[in-house]
Amino acid sequence: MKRTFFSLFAVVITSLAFIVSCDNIDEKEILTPIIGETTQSVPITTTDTVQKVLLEDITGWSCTNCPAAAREAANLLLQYPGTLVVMAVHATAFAKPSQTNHNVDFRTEYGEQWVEDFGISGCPSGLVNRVKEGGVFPVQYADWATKVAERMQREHVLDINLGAKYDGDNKIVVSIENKVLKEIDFPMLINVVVLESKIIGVQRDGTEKDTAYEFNHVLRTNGLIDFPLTYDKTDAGTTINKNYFIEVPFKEDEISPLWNLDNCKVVVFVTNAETKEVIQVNEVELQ
Amino acid sequence: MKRLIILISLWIFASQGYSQGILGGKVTGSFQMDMQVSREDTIIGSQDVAERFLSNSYTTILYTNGAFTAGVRFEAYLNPILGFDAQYKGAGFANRFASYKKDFLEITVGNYYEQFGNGLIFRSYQEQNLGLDNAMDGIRIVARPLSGLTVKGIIGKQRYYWEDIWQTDNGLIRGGDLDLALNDLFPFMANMTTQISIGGSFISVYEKANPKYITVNDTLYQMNLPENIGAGAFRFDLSHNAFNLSAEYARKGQDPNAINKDNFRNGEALFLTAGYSQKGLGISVAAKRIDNMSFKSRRNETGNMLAVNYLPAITRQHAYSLMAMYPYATQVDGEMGLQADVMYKIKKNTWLGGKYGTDIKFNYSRIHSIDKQTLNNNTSYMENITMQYESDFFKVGDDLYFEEINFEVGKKFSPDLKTTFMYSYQTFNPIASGHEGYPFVYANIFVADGTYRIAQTSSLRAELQLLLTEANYGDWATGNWLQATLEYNLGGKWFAAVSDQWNYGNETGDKTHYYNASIGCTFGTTRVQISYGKQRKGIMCIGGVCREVPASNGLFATITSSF
Repeated sequence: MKRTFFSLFAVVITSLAFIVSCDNIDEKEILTPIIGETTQSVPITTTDTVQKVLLEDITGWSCTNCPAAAREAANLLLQYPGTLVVMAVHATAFAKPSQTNHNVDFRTEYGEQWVEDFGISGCPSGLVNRVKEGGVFPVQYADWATKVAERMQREHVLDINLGAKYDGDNKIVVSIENKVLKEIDFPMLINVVVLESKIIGVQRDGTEKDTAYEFNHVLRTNGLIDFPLTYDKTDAGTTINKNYFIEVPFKEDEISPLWNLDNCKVVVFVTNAETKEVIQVNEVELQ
Repeated sequence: MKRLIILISLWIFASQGYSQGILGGKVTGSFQMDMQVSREDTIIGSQDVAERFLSNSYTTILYTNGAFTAGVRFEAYLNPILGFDAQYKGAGFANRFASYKKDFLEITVGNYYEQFGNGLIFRSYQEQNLGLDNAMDGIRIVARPLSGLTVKGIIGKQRYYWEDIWQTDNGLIRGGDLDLALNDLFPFMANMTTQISIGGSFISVYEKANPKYITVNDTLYQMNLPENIGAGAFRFDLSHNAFNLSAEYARKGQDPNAINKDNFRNGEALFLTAGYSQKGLGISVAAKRIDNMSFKSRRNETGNMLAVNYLPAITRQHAYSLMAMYPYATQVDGEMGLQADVMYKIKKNTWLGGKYGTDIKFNYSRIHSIDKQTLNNNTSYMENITMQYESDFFKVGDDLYFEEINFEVGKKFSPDLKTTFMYSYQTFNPIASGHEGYPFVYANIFVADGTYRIAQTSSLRAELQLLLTEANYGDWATGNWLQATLEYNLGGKWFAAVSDQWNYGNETGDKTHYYNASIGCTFGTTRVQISYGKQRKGIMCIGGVCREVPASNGLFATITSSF
């Protein structure tokens, strides 16, 4: 009897597993057009000459230690003017809005995805150029200074020259000149995002609740993530020009932008498609 | 730490003795070491070997105690011999496992090999000569709860050279197989002369999909890739007296990958065999159809590694080197073909059979492309890109890939003289070996092989092979060949051989000789063989899976031993 039961159990489990274990993508959904590339261009205003580092501060308004991490990031920005780019990625359960923070939601779909992809389980945490070391990506904020210093020394193989301008309608147009300085033998992906600073809101800070906390470098929605830049080897001396646009979301009145564009900047970073490591990053203020 | 435990365990076993009676169990093992020294030879295209000396070694140690078995395999490629992937360079424990049987369960943890049915959707195996090892690392459970019922479940990842597979995004493989031997399962069928078994299996590979983009008509598109690739198969075997028939049909879900060039079309495979055998006569026929069945646990992999399934070859596997000069490699994107084998023994004391009888073998195989048509007018341009084609299941494609007809006659003339004669006519489409754009190769191949027993413990074997073809396409199809081999055996313990492959009809007019001399001996379970000579560049195929063998000129030695 037991054996018969086991047999039936095995058959049922096998059948169920078979049914649930196969993804089927509808023929019409296999290819999704990518919205973001444009033929419009704007003048290049920021040129790149040195190796820069991207520090991603994984944070959330209800994370009590996150302000300390933000202060560490601010100190590092003073230490590395023009060569360190800080991006505050509001993600994890600590960033989930509630009535306490007046339902302000800084989360982005891709921020949540990065948290999953890079194995980040809580806040504060960080990524320094998305380098996998010792089998892990996240870097605790106490180690940010060391890792930033170390990764600042990496070989400079790519320049990202930038220009960005709000078209007065609903788009930020970004022109990018990617100059390959040394042969790169892996495919690259490019990311174009908007960061907004000087946003006043609610933040837990230790045991306190700061209702006038200033959020800086906040990663905003509508970014262009992991767009292909190269598919294979790229020779030294190659220049790849790209023009993108980012849609600016509007408030319910449909007149004023949701973001304060005076406090926004555009950050562009290029990654190794195989290892996910950031090759170079640059930022530009809106014209 | 893991390696330390293994080494300490081995030391404990070794310090207590060998072979039997260790901790109430038994230790067995085997060792093989291949060594190669090769130098530059511009005539045959052999490259200089920077290391001068290359070696591949394999050591297996098994401990068995009742229902418990554990083992390790140590491999060292220092550095890999020519033709083996450089990624093998290094040494370490490539394989370790523990297994036990209890009640109706057999549980294996660690590395294991397994196959469902004919392997159309899952086969994990090792073929040392191809440098192929798809060992699984994970858990395998085999249950036999009822007589005639076997259920298998597997989960794990596949070996990829020395890569730490648990740190990579290589696919996680899950699967199950059910086999019902109806005559054992149902008492009323127990005494039937017709034996029937049926089975079914499924496999699912999970691999995280990174964004992939393509540009069509200047517009950028993101390709949405499936992360769980599923495949299922159904099979049956039927035998009745001298007849047997078996069939397996497999279907694979969407699996765009580097081999099928991102084709989202479902894969299909059908494998049929039928046979008849009685004393002195054996007939077997096989038919196969494959459509888009490349199945890897990493979608960007194009080499032999990480193959989840195995698609059996239905062309004759030749042992004679000139017969195997143009081997057929299974076309995983699509092929259909058939093979027929007839073996007949002409009786003794007849005019044709002579005093000892005569063995006759006939083999015919023919492999074609499958029918491929562009999608009908209602489908969009995008669907044409992603689904690529339609195919009529029963329609044969226009391209012939391979055809062979061969005869073999085995004749014993006296108690001391045994001979084999073979003839083969092969038609080989270069596209099947990646040489697109070349005309077909048509080859007539002859073999004569004779062994003469000189005394009770010694024999002399002579072999002559001739390949005639007009194909002269550079370095891979080089005209006519003649091969002669002479081999002396003494008491089954010593042997010495000399041979020469003479490429007397190549395009460049080079009268290239590939001479070789070898000597070997066997002491108990240990065998040592050493040879010196030239090896031609070519393709080695086993079961339709192939690897390139580069030219070499130098010394090759092998030691094998077991205890």
